[in-house]
Amino acid sequence: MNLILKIAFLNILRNYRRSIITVLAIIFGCVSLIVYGGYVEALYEGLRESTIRSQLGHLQIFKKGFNEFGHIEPEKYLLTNDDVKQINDIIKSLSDVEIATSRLNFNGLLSNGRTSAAVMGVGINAEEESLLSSFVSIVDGEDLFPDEVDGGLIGKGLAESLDIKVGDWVTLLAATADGGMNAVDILVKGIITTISSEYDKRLIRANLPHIQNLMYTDSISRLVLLLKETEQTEPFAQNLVEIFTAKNMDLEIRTWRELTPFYHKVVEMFDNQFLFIRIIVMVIVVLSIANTMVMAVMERTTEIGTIRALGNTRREILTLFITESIYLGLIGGVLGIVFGIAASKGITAAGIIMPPPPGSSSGFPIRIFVVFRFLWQSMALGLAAAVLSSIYPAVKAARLKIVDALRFV
Amino acid sequence: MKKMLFFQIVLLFLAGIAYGGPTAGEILQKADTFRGFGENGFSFDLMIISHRPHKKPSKNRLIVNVKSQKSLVKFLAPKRVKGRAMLFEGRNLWLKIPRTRKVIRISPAQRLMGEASNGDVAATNFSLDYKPVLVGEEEVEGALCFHLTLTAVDRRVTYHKIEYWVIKETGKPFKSMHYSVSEKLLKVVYYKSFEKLNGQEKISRLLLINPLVKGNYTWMIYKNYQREDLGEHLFRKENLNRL
Repeated sequence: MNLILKIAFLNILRNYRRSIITVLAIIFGCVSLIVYGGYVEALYEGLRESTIRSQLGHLQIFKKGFNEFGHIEPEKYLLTNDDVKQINDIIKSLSDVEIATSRLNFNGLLSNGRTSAAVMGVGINAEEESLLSSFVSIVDGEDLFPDEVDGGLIGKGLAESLDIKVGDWVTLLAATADGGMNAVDILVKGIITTISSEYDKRLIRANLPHIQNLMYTDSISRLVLLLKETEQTEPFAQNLVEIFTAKNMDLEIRTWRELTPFYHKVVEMFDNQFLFIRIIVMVIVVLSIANTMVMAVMERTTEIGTIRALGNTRREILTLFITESIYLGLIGGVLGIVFGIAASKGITAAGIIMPPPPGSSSGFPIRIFVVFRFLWQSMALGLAAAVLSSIYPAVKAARLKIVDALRFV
Repeated sequence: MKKMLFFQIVLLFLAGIAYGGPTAGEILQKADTFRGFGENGFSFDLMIISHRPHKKPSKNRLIVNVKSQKSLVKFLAPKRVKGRAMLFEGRNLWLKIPRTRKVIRISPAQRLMGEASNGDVAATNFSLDYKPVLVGEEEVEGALCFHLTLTAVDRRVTYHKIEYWVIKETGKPFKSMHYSVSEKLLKVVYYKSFEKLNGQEKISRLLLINPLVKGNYTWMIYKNYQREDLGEHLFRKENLNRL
């Protein structure tokens, strides 16, 4: 056995041209899959974290029924002060929570004195939200602070349509919690953008106490939780649901996955595309390896005849060729992984900026993650392709009559 | 002799044509006289009682000043709305809430919902904003009425079409149904009672029904009609800021 291993290795070195071509094909396959897979993974992570950190948090807690009926009768499905106290007590005893912050959503009209625009706004706790809103960018003015009671942040599209600048006063008219109407003044402290320019056309963020004043209530629409790690979301949510049920509390929870249908559609779309590309790459790699292998065996037919004439069995011929292709597969696979990692890090380090995706107003730098499962999967693919594609020609060659093999031209 | 007969027949004919009953325009104008003093300024107190399903009815008291086609409304009660003012000026509705700096403009489309829609109905001068067509005579809920179809003269009028029933005998408005551009019924109004003032009868109670929400209806009760000589300057948006 040892002899065959050694001879197989020497054969590879001897036929260095064919070996190089085969190894290159395998490297190409591995690098493509590693880089593309890492690119998609980075995109998913970017989308996930930006969604979580600009609006949703990891999970949100509501009054039971809010998500189904809240838009019809919002005032019936708010979390009261007592609800919030109870929830906070429970959360304090759990260690995975980074922030739990209150929000009060409202619909209204924003007036500049000459005309008004429909707005969808939220009253927030400015300090806590600054940790949660790392993907909301301030393009003019400054961030909101709780001591500026009537301060507000206006979406860029909204500011443009009403011609408002930082430092202007505007009046906000909204429906109160009990179905009436009220208005308060807002001092524009800053202009903001999010990942959606449609959202920016109707967006206003103000301090929670001011909005509660506007709506004649001290309740809130939802409690938004940011956890320490995104992976903890599902187990944490389940745990919380159990606690709430045990204490008979009238609440419901939504995780960020349930709150963003967009993320799933994007992942689905990319998964389909990735699969398609992967199949194409695999086919190319397998074909080129198979081609090289077939040629290699054909060209060595006389050599095979000689070896057989010396007394080696068909089985030994087969073993020889398969061993050669295993070597090639391993070498190609390892080099493919090395180059794949190098390419990923290199592209990430280059800091190339992508143009803004549809619906967004800012570009982002390309990142390529190194994902362990793509590394071993591509190596396995290269190896499998090399080995499987060498079987057929090797079997064919081994079956030849020695006489014919020796005379093969 | 034959010439005389011919003339007589022609005269009879003409007389027959001349007497055909009131035109659509005339009916409309007469109905509108029950709703104000026309070109001169006047004012009245208004009590609005809004009924909503599963909620206590809310009562608002207002003072309304009207001149030409503009109305200035000031809220007196309850405490929460005291000091608020609204100006209906042409097609615009301006709202000013105490302790805020900016007047809020509410477009005709935004006015379709909520209590502002009732104000809109009560304030509208049908003769000016609508073209009337006489559909015929009908008996509606026990009253013999002229039925008019009113079509808005331009797109900025809140309700695109109104079906209007006016009592044949007295010319008083009886019922109106207000429709959007898409032919959706948005408001049903009954002109319930009238009061004599200075020898003229004016509307004193309106019932406005929201056909889209069961149990949502509003009573508007007018009192204290008075002629007032009010300056034009009061009916401008800029003046709202000073109130």
